[in-house]
Amino acid sequence: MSDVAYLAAAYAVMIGLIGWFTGQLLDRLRDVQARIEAVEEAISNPKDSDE
Amino acid sequence: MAMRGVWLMLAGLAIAGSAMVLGFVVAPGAKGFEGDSYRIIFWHVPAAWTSFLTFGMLFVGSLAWFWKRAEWGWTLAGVAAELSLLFGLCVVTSGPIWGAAEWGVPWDWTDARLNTYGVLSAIALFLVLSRRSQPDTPEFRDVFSGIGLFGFLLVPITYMATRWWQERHPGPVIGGGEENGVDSVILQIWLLAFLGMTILMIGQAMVSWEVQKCERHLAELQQRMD
Repeated sequence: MSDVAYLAAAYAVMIGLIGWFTGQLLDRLRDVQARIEAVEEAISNPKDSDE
Repeated sequence: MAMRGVWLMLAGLAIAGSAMVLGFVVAPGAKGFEGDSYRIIFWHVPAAWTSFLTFGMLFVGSLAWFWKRAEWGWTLAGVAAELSLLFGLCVVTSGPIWGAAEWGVPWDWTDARLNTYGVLSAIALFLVLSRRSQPDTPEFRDVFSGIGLFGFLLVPITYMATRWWQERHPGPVIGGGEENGVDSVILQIWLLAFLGMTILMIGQAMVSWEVQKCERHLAELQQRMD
């Protein structure tokens, strides 16, 4: 493999890791905010959540 | 806080990305290295420096939990463990790829810098996995914080390793004595990349902090429902 191929592979791995981590962080934030909203709604309207 | 974190992440990525491009296009060749593979340093080294900052955050958070039983310390330790793993993985994956190009082997088991940094990253991996798999009890928090404190001890050893026992990893070029200078253009691009990675890390820390805060709030709401 040439120098540039090694270089491209190394940067691709780092970009991939940073991109994956950032993406899963934002997914976790969206997910937990949606769950909080759902639970708060269930607490404020207990009858609706029972049905 | 989360939105500010997202903006900081975008700004950090833009700055670090610009530094990477400048490293390819503007930076001259480096003395002592043939070819272009040395250009890995424009992200590899700033990622390592940033990981030292995150291990420092892990130390502060672990100490605050251990000493004061501070809830913010426990949150900070969790945020810092994840970020230490991210930047540690960036270093331990890109380094061996460069090593394969420059040395002909990806890893040298006799080199102290490589091995101490590998152990540091393994500690971050252990902390992240254990935090996700173990129940949140005071005993677990104590063990987690103890390992976080121990992990930080490896940071100065890792930093000094190339000064004390240099085998294969390149020696220090900043603060490494008169013979180990670095070209001023390379240094400026390097520092720009470090600035970008630090801003990116702060943005990620803010979002991660918000996630942990929301998870605690959710657990409290669910307890109230039960």
